Amino acid sequence: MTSIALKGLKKKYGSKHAVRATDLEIASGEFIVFVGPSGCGKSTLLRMISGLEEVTDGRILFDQVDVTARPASKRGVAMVFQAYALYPHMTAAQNLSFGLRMTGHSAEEIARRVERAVKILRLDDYLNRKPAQLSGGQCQRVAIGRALVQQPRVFLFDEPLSNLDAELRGSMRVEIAALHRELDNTMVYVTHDQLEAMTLADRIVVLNDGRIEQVGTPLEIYHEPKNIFVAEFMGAPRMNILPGIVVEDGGLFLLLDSNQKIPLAGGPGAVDVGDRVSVGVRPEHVASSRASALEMRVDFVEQTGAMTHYFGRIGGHEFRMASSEERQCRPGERICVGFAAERLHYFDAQGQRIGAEARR
Amino acid sequence: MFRKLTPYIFLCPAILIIGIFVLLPMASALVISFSDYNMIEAHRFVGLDQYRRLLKDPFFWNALGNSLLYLAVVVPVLSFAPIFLAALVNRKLPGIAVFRGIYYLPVVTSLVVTGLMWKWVYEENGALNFILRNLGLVDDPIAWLATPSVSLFAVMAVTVWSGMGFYMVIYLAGLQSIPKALYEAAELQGVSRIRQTLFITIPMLRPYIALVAVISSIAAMKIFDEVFIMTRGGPLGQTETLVFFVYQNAFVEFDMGYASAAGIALFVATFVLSILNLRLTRDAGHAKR
Repeated sequence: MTSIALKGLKKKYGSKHAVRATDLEIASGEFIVFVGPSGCGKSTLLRMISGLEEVTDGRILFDQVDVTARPASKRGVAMVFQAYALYPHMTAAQNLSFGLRMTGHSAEEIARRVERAVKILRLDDYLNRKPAQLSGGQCQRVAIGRALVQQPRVFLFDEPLSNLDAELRGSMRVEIAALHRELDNTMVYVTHDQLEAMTLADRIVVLNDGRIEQVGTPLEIYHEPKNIFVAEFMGAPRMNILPGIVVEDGGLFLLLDSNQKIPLAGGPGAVDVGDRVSVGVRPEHVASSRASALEMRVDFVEQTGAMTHYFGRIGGHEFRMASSEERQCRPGERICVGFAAERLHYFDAQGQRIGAEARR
Repeated sequence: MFRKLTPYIFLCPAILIIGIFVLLPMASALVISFSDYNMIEAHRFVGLDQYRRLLKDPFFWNALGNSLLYLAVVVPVLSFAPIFLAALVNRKLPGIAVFRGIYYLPVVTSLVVTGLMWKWVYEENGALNFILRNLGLVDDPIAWLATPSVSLFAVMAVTVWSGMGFYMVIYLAGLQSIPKALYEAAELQGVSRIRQTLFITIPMLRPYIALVAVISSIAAMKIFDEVFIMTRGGPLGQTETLVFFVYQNAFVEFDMGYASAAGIALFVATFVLSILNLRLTRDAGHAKR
């Protein structure tokens, strides 16, 4: 088991910052997930940890030892790639043993390690098949097996499930989680899929435009997003954000551009009359309510079976509601929606969370 | 009805052109090969006489031998040397596109120009002898194209030089089709660069190697321009290849029946070679899967 520390790690391509000065501590045995939109620098960060990408500035430490200048082959990391990166001219068995055969391991040692990987990942049935004869899921299992036989200090996963269909993604996710429980290795996992991040991670690192926006456990990230970006990125359908001005009308209210008011009772004390504030509320915390004066115009309705998603607008802003009740609703219809005041998230004019401590 | 005919209507021009300029001459060559015909007098049917003549003709065997030697030397060189050239220009270096262009230049240069240029290079007081003498490697100039033991190899060198760029481009496409992640996976496993080349690059290039072997084999069997421009088959028939033998008999001796028989022999040889190569290509394709 290995701990990882990133100290002021930077990567620039020409004048473009792929990763801005990044500091991060990854505990030994931790499953950490880098999540963010395309081009946010998550894969670059992972590749710098692996040694496949040169570092522009900063340091990488494994167990407090600086490995920044150490070549990839000497870092003791193994990586699982998005497109599997299996050698197409070799069978699954040959793919598993290739690295060990090329680096002078004894036949007994190779057989022992391959056998263990085969057992853990249940690869027996297709050991003699070439990658073209395997399904996407089987290919990825072989690729994970190939990482496993290296007995690395750190496992790196670069969007390993992105090429699989939804059902297979779900089952592979369970397998990867089980693998982590069994091996207890440090694992760093990159994905753009927030569901993968939420279900797999001990801690999630949310990245945007080359910088870390927030580091926290999945539930911390979900319940206490540090800013509007994290709030909107994590969760599906994404969080509703309604900007407005704080007004006094027998109590504090948020006045929306549609002239509708949201009571701020129970909100953070840090807001004052005249402040420009945005409130956020997750679609699953919104319910239709005749008692509420907040009106949403429904544009379309999406049935997922377990939940019904209503997409529409409040004033000029997109608004979403996720409900377990199957209510018939036509596009253009107006429904009154409400939510509990304690479910609201407050963000200042810069999009930063207000009063996080007060809400804990 | 018209719908069913549409594809054939589109194919018609190509079939017509191939029919007139390839299939018809082939068929007439086959017919002429069974006759005695000098382009002036009428055809005289002689059965298999021309083929019997071929079998007894030392010049034919010499030409066939030269063509096969050409094949044996040029094909392996052209199948493997351009891989290294492609690997070289596949690197992301500043101005690498210029080098790719320079290496490709001989391919787009007319073989007549290339032949004449190399003829000057090979002259007794040409550039090659000048360099070798200045380096102290030879005392007396070598008559590259007039010395029987080296003339064929001198012509081969020109074929290799002018074809290298073309095959380099094929291998470059092959190299660029290998996913970078394969090398990265190997690098993380501690596999050395040499082993990556031997166990990843070369096997992944197998279909391309087979393709180059097929194309270069057929090209080697059809060598004519270099020989015609540089040596005219000399000295003492040392550079006379099968196609040059056909040309010599057809358009110098006007022995069309005999030349046609030799042409048919060349066709059979090329056909067998192509089948053999296609089989190898198919095997390579299977190996990839």
